[in-house]
Amino acid sequence: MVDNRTERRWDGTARFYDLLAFGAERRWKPAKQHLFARMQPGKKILFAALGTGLDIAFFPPNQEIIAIDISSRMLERAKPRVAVYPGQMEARQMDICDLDFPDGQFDQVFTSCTFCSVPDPMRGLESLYRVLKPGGELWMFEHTGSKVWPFNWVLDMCNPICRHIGPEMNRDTVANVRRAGFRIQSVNNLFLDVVKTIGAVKSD
Amino acid sequence: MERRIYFIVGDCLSSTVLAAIGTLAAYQLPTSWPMPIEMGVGMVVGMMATMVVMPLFLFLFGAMEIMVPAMLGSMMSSMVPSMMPLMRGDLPMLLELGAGCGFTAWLFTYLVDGVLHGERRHG
Repeated sequence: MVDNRTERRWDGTARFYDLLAFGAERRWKPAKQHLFARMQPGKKILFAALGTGLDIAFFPPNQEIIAIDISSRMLERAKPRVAVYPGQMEARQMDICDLDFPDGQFDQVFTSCTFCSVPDPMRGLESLYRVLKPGGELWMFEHTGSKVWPFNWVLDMCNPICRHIGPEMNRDTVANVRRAGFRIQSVNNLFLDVVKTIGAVKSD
Repeated sequence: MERRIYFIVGDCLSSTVLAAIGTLAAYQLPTSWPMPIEMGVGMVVGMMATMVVMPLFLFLFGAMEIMVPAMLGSMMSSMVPSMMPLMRGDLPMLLELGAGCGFTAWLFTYLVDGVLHGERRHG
């Protein structure tokens, strides 16, 4: 089952997405390449959410990846990028909160600017927890709220407007990951304590 | 912490220009309002104007890295016209002050980023 409201929202953004993300993708290319370098050949990898597939260029070759996204229009735009990925890659339309995979299917899960936009982040994270094998790894590139004044104040003020356009600005994703049952291994702040990579494992 | 000149200059430019736009938007408000109301409304109007122009800078330089200092700078800069009633006739000076707020916000953000940047290992 796909949350239709969320799907429509991202379908509407698909046309402009590459343009909007152009600066951020350029800026975070090294950090993303570093994060995705943790993908290991021979492991089953889930990538959520694919969007228009901009991140595919940063994936190391020869991986076995299933990528999902809630928006069919985003996936349509991602198709050419999926096709030229030098490895095994399949893109499917799926809601991260309602993953159509059996329990313990994946060795690694990667996300990229995903949990600022999932309407129910706890359900999404619990869903990822379910499909990971015991000891499986979760690697995230996310932007979150800040714990530092005045940045937390600015993000709280912008949130009511931004959440209508796209992402939430003030989520505590690290705490949510922990609450979903994961053991946090590392948090790497890339910009303030707002843009960060998070590494976590599913306890055995 | 950001070390590429393109992004450092871009962040600084975004923050100063967007803060000046916040000042310009707040400058359009009537001068007859009581100062606290003008400050509050000016802040909202200035931040909204900043958000409208921001996508251009987001396209060139990034996302949150532009948005956070720009909104902080614009929050301060959009209160400048109401806080400086004697300078209402001198728009260029007000814009300079607004841009200064943006520059200060950018500098502050960079300094705090220098402290927070890096990896924390858990467990």
